[in-house]
Amino acid sequence: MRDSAPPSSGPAPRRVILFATCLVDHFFPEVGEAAVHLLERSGAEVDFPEGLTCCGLPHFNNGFREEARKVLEPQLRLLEGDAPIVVPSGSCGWMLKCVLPTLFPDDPWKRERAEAVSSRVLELSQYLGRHAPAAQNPVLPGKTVYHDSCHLLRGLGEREAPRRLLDQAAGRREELPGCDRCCGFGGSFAVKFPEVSCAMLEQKLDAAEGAEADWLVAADAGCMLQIGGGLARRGSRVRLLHLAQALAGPGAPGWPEEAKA
Amino acid sequence: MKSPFNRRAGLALADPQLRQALRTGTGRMGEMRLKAFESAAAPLALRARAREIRRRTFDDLGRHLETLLASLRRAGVEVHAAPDAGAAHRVILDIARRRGATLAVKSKSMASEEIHLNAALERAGVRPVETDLGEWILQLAEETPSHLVAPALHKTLEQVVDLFRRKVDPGAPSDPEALTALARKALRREFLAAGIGISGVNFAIAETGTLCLVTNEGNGRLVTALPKVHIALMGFEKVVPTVEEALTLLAVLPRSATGQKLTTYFTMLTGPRRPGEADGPDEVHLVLLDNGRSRHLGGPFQEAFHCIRCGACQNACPVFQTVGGHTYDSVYGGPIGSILSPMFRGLEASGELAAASSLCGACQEACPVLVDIPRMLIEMRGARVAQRNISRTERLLFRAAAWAMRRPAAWALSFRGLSLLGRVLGPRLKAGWLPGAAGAWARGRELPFPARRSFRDRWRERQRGAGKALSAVPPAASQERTPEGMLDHIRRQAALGEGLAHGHVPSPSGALPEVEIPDPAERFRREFEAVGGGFFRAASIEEAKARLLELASRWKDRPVAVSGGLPLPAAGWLREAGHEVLESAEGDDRGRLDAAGLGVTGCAWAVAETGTLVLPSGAGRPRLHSLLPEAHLALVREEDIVPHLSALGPRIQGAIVGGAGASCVSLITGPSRSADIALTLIRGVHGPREVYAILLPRGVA
Repeated sequence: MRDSAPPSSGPAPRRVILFATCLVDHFFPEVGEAAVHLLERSGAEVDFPEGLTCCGLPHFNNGFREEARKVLEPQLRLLEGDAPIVVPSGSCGWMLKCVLPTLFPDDPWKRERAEAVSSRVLELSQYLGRHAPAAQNPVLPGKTVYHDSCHLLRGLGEREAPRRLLDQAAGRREELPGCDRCCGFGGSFAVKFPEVSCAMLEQKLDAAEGAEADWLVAADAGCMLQIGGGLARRGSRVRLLHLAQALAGPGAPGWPEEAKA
Repeated sequence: MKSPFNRRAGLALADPQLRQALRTGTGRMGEMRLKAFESAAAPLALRARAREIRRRTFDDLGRHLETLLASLRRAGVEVHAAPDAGAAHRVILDIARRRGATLAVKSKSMASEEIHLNAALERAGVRPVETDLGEWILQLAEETPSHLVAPALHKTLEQVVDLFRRKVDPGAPSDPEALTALARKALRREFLAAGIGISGVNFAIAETGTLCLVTNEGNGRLVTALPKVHIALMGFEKVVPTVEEALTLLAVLPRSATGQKLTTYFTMLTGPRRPGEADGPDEVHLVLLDNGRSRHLGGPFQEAFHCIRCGACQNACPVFQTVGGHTYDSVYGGPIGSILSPMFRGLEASGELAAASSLCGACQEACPVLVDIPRMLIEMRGARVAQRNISRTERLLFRAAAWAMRRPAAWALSFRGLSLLGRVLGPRLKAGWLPGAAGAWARGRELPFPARRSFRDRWRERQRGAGKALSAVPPAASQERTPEGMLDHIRRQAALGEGLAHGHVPSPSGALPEVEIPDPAERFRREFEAVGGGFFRAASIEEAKARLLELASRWKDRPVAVSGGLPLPAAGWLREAGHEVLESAEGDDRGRLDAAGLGVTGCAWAVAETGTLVLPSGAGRPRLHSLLPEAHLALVREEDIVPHLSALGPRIQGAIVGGAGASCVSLITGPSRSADIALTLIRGVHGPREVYAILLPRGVA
């Protein structure tokens, strides 16, 4: 396999492609704005090609492999070139990085193209960790805890990058008890097994409230749907942020309007 | 209407006692697992090696099974093929009938649960008695196991006390230690009376024909030493090529299962009792079970055969932690069970198991042989889609979504519609009357609606404002290739193999690193004491004698069992001091042995890193001397201490196949123990309560 990570030294890449993901595009557009802000601040020129929709993970994970392939295939040509492909979501990043090259087992040509694309995929914190200059001053007041999204942690094996970035951006960060425990989303799992899913969610919310966190930060739009929905139902005082929003900080593009710093 | 899994999950969620038991049980086992691997020199390399062993075994499964069969027969084991549960029942009942057995003692065997053996035995008039404490509790409660290694994990102490009072003794005490003593007494009677012992198999070693059992309580040893007939039952996936490889798997199994470096007992059985051996079964049978397995060889689920049944994935799984094993309604619950059960029962019957996972990957992270369970769950879901074994609605929904995702305008429009719907209806929606998925979501979470202006909208506006052209598609890379280039490419494809990797796994190469042990005798002492053994280093033969007599005097009125071939004349000393001495020459005198207070044995090797005693059986060296008495004392020569478990491979191999050959090699690490009642660690469940070692100065005997 070719080297999956761009070199960490040398000048930052000039152009990056943002694969915003369908959830960020339609449910969390602010996260996309914050991501663009961070990427541009790191010196990159951001491109968000017309025609990108979804990474196909919902189909793949539910056993619709063929549909996942069909969804991704027309998007591949939008992702070709040399630019790093940045994904602000661990699960979609995992789909593009780890699953995409396996979707064309019988077609060596397409597989090669898919591999060329997947080799340039980086989740947002992975990209920023390698190419963004360290933040000067913390921007996030209060206490911050981080929830590991399963696919970023175990799928992409990334534990450190989000923590390092948050340590620069947050005034005070503490480890969330059970930080690597699934929030209970799991896509269709959340609606097929609502009681189990919610019981798992309760534990996550209890942990965040028990830690008396001001900000609960996640790096996956799926977790945000689940955790955000749970916090809202509880009327919790813990506020949910996407990693991009937390790093950009209050007042920056993409800061949630209703969240008071 | 709730689905069956959801119905069972609902019951589990509504049971605070169960949830508490699950929380503490899985939590503690998970922590102990992590801690146990800290003692390995290179935990991940060790696991990668273990995985490699499992993988390579299946690369050449036919040859290994052929070797196993030949070795077993050479050792005098009768091998029976059981294509399905019914065939396994027939084989086992035939043996019972022929031997006129009406009582069968069983050590823990998931395969026997899989084929519902107990019910078949009962129907045929053979009373099966589970002897693993947890399994016994479940047998009394008429329940099934809820966990691979802690079958009664779901039961609290109060529930067990209540059960004992109803089924065993109305005056049963309420502390785990006394309950365990009660169980020991009741089960010892069964052991001594049983005509047949039935066990599972953890590893079957092909090169030697050795069946291995991993246990803590000692019931596995009793089941295979006391009855005249031993029937072992296993799926063919348990085959391991060599002794050395079995020891590597042993290095990860207890660590992953119970957080021990080694379980108390690792029992390696090679055929029936040999001429001159005082105990052990006269007849050994192996029932080789298929029961739906073989059709998955070479298929997408073959990797599930790598599982060594440690239960680590269950402890790590947030779904299992939340709803427990019974919710899965199958013998094998939890993540690996959601693969194994459909494999064995048929994918059609798999129901919702594959869907009942959030695919968080914690299972694979915990798995000692790194089985890619999430990949197989996804494959399993795919198989159900291919078989049209999902609802029409689901199929339509995913089809429609895929259609729209290929058409960005339609895709965007659908969200615009949803967003509008949300703004119009959102404030008026009540969770209670929402249909389908939306209703399910809204049970415990606010319903999300798409944003009024998508990121795409905002991006377009921004680009217009900045006067930038919309991004152009870069030209595709040249597709021209030479035939050689294509051939190269195909070769690379073939080499990639495996498909999708969920996590990052290093490949092992060369010898596994081991932690250096500068002073093996001292390390042995530390480890031996850490597992609960009493250690004494004798500076002279006189000191050893004094200590031996002192220990024996604690059971003054009871016989002392003394093995032959000891480095010291222990039997003579004990007789001089007025003890009744049982020697192996007197044969299989189990009644007297049962009454013995102390058993004195030698030891072929001792392992420093784990505090383990290695006892091969043989003429004058019965298995029961280290098993039936209340306490076991081993005389250890310093020159017999080896630093690592890995150093034992060739030695044990030699002991099994060389010379007269030992029909049983026992690895003993500490006193018999169990944590089956409310996870409280109790000593002396079936085997000795106390274990002692006297280290003899170099050059003795």
